[in-house]
Amino acid sequence: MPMHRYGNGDIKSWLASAPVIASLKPEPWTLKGVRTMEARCEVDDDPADALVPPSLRPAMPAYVSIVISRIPDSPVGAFGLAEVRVAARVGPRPTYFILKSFCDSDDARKELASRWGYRVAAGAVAMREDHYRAVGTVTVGRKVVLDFTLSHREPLPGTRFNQLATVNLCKLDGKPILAGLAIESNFGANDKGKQRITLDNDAIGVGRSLKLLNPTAATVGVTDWTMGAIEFTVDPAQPAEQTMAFVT
Amino acid sequence: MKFGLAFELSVPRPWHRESERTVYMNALEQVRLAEELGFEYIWAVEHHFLEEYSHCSSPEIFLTAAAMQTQKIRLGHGIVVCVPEYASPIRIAERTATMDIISGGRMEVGTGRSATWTELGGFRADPDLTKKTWDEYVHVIPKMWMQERFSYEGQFFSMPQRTILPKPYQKPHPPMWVAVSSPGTEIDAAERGLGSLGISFAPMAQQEKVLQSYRRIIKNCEPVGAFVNNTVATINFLYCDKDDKRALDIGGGITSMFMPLATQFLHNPEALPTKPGASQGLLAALRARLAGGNPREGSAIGDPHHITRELKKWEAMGVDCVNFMLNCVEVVPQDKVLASLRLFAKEVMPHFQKTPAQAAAE
Repeated sequence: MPMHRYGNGDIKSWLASAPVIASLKPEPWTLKGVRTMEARCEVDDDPADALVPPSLRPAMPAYVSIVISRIPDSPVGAFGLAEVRVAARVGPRPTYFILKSFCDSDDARKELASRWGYRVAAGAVAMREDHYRAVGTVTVGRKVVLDFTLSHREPLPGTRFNQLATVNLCKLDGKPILAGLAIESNFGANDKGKQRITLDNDAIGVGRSLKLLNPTAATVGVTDWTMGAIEFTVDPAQPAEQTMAFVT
Repeated sequence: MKFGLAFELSVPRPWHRESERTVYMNALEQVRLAEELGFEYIWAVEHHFLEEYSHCSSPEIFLTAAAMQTQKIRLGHGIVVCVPEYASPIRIAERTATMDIISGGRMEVGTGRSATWTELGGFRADPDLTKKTWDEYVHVIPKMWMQERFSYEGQFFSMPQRTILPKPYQKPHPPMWVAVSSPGTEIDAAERGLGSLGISFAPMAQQEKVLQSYRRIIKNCEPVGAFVNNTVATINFLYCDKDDKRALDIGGGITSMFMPLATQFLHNPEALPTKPGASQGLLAALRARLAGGNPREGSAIGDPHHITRELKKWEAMGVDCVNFMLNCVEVVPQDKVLASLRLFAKEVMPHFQKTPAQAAAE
């Protein structure tokens, strides 16, 4: 029987920083007026495979998604969130595996980790928008570890951006799981543009061989998010098709 | 209702020197048997870079080989990609006319624009433009076939006056089709008088809506060619065995390999936020199908009784032709594929043959 191609990421090393979640049914957050910029960019297959857990199948071609968001209000106040994610497939579904995220609020970090399993580090997340561009940065200490500029802004009228779900590596009742999050989003305005990204591979923990090669999309917009319950879980070490369990 | 075969030519890893040749030779053997058994069409896809899933990047060569090994079966591009980075419309007109001559007038020319960033991105083609380039291509290609001298000034393609040669053997030209997977393409097909070549595995109810819309609009179409091809084809997997459970065990392997492979690539909406990219294509339909519903509804994997019953539903809906995919990454051994075809021809096909009176009336 032919075999499908799965990731070969080292779960053991990731588990050291995996958060513990309390429940699969966290109380949802509705976040209004979130400003978000996202870039999607192809990367080489081999280094990307090492970023995907063995339960998931890498996208072909491999690509990463970089998201920088400013949340103006939440149950814990305003905060900035940046995510570096690699595209994967959980069964037939497209998803992103979050490699690293940064947040500039202690309270938000704690909630994101304990509710939805974000492996989230402390970092200053800044975003500035002009009519002709948008600039997002993540600074850890005094070092800029992610710099994302979107230029040549052009409106996308009447378009609903295709926001994919994410999976987070975390622990529940002492066991490692991949938790699939359903984030409902409703864009109010959206522009596309050209992307320029500088990524500190060491700070992101993606290995030095990962290079951003072929940009596919860059967008900036305003959206309302609902971060809801965890939709499904997967054993991170086994093919998702065998262990995927929907949370009822 | 007529039947055909659709070939993706999928090649399982690990690849070795004989892998692709085995798949191609098996497919040609299936073509020869299909003709003998009374199948009407074969179709070959054009895909690029879709590893394992489809190694059929030069369908014109596969179809030419098929033409040389058969006498009656019709040979279809299912589809040829109408995007400038892939090929000029001149080359498509020349190639298809040549194949029509060599095959003795058996070409069917399906057109389309590719639904994946994996492919379009590989050619550095802009998915935002492919609907427009496809439209320009389907308008000029029939003129290239029919006019002795042709010139054109367009948005994506222009040429000074030249004689495009050879001309097709079929007069005025081969039937033209368009691949219909995204909602709305059936309207494009109908408005232009093109056959609707269904390549989606969407549920029956959804496909019925598409078909009704197509039939309604094509009545008042303005054909891009010299005639209207008011024909609707759909696609299905086929595995026929006398024992229904065994059919599901063996034939189920085709879908269980096909779905994960097909969904591993980047279809346009995943890579791009723009409007054409937001269309629903084959992969969206596959995912929707996996998400729920009766997986056996409309399926041609089963015993002859099951397959006949399900195909009768397609026939009642008004589908003119069902094209079958017989395998995926060679998960079904070739002898079983051939046995399945023979059993289908013996026990299912007769239920769909015209009576002599119907044939005479036609």
